Amino acid sequence: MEAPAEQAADLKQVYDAYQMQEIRERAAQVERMAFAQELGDWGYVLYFALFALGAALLVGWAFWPRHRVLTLRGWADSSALPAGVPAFERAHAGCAAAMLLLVLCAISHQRGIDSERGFIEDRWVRMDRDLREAERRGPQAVEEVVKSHYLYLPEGDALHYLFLGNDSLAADAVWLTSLQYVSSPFRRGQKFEMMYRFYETVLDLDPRWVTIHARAGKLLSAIDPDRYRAERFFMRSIAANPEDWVLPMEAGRLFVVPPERPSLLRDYSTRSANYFETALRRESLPAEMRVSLKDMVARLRSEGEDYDIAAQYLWEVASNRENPKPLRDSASRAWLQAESLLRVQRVRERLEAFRKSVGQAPPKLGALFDRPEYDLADAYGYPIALDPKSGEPYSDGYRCQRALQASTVIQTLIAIYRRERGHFPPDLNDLTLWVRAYFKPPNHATFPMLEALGEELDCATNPMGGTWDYKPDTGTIELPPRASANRLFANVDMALDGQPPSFFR
Amino acid sequence: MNVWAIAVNTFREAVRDKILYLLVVFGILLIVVSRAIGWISYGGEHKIMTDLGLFAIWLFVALISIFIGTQMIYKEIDKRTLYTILSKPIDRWEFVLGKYLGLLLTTAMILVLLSSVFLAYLYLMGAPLTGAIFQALLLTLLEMVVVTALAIFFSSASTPVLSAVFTFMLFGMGQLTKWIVDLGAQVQGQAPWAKLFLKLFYYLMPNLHNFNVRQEAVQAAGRGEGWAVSADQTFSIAVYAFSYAAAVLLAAVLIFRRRNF
Repeated sequence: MEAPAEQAADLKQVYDAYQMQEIRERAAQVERMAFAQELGDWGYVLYFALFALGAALLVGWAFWPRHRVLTLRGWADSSALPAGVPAFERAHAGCAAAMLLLVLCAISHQRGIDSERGFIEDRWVRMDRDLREAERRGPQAVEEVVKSHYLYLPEGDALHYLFLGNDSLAADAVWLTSLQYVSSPFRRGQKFEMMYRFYETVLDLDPRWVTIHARAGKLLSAIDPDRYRAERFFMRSIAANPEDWVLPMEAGRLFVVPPERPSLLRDYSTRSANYFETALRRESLPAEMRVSLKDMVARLRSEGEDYDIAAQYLWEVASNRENPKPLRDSASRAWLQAESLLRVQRVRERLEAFRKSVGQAPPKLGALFDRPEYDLADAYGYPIALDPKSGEPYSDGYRCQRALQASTVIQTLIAIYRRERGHFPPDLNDLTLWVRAYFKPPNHATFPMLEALGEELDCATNPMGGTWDYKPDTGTIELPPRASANRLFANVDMALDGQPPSFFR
Repeated sequence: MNVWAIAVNTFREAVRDKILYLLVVFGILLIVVSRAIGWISYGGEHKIMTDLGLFAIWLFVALISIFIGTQMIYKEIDKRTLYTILSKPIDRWEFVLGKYLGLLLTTAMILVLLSSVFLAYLYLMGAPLTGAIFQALLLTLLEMVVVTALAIFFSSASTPVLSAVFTFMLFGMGQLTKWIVDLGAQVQGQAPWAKLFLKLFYYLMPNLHNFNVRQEAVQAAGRGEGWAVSADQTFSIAVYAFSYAAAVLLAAVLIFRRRNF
């Protein structure tokens, strides 16, 4: 897989090329439209007709006999004309000719000015022209041309004075202006700094406009895949709105979708959980959202390896009878996992402390604990033992749950394999090779796949140790009885009721 | 009694001014168009409508005060009707006060008219309507108490053009007087006396930003809260408005008394 830095650089080049191409296409389109308009433009016909009329009137004025007027019945002598009869004199013809020709002169000059300065649509033509000239001078010149087409955006303080203290209206104006740039192809792939500046100005002018700050944060995260950059804006807006719950909620959502690189998962989950906890602390958070948000925080803490907090929250959600049953069931299963991992963590700490003080591993793990039948049992009721290869403690129940999860994912992949190739994979190594080839960009592996099989998408390794019991004839994986869902979750209610979470002890 | 008669007459004369109708029409147009501007926004449509509506009312009512007020007394002098009035047993202060009250009545009427259109429009568009919006409109009226006094002051001292220029300048600077205090803090190092001077200048200037609670009103309306600022603060602002306007009118009376026509 390409490193993210190379991927980002490739993307930038693609966006650069795309932007240039799009500007050129847009410029060509504008020129075609203008040309087509001019061809079929009746204005030209009218213009020349009026010009001809003006010229004819001018000639007529030049040869108009003096003291003669033109009436509806023909030429007449001005002195002999009865009053009230409409008549056109020489002066009328001269005035009409002069007015017409002067107006047409003004119109023709106006078109000249417009063709030079251009309308709003023509900016693409001008930008294309400037870019072509700048390309000959190099990438620095191109960057200067692109920057010169920015709309100058004053700082928030300056806008406060320009709008005579109407900061709210100034914020509206800046927000509306920013929307034009979000949707346009202008600097596509490079507009993060520009949009950040717009949204920062809106934040300076109207810090309490929470709805828009939430949307601005979302737009920033859509513009640039680097979520840490969008997070900066959320941090500022949260600081400006200490009672609000919406902004920390949105900031949490920013990191709740797992990253493409699983190595970032822990950091993402921790940040997301921190923001959601901030939202939980806000009194304005609706009561009906507290339970589900707490459940989400717990799962994120578990992903971030903060098992004690995760176990606490999940236990609160699972043991509260007022919560809906599906939520309690889901929370209880997640609690089993978090509590088991927490116990493993405590065993590891005790083991390391022993190794440091004595200089070697204990002869038996049970010797480290007063109540080994309790301290060396995970929340599932399965033993906590030492892995013979790594020497690290592990929870057998947790491994069984992971195996159950992984087997479900592998079964799905086997079904896809069979659909693609017409037969079951001969073995799971073959399946692994196929999965790695199949789930390359643009077909990305989903997060459940990465969580179950690891970054290497290894279908052959069993989390319980060893290999899978795979039947190539039927394409099925058989799990031992202790890894079945019935067995794994048989004691969950008892564990919740009878055994409080470890930190209560 | 004389004051009231002059006020009513001034009101009748002011409502016949064509500028008034033009400004009212544009004000209503801006209120109605605010919905269209809200359409092109991604979120915050009601907030934009409310912002623009309050701004339109504030701006157009101020323009009416300034345009009509700055030529009020000068018109009387120019048409020579002032001599007829002053030949009657009417004190000059009664004349100035009557003119002021008549113009204030006109401004209040226009504000009520524009506000009715605005509030009805907000209601029809489903935007939130709380006491905060009414409070912002009330404070706009109090702001016009001061602006009208300034317009009458300059009108009693100068020609319409200069009066309008000076009134506009004070109107604009009055929105930004906080900057004067900030400036004092920045130059204190170089000139210590500057801070004191600027602070004095700040208190002498009409601090019209006091009346600007439009942003707070819109935010409060968005949250469904009833008030933009507390009742105590509203009372203080009202007292400030009437005190400052009274001082300016006294100055106008003093100038007017000394004028020879």
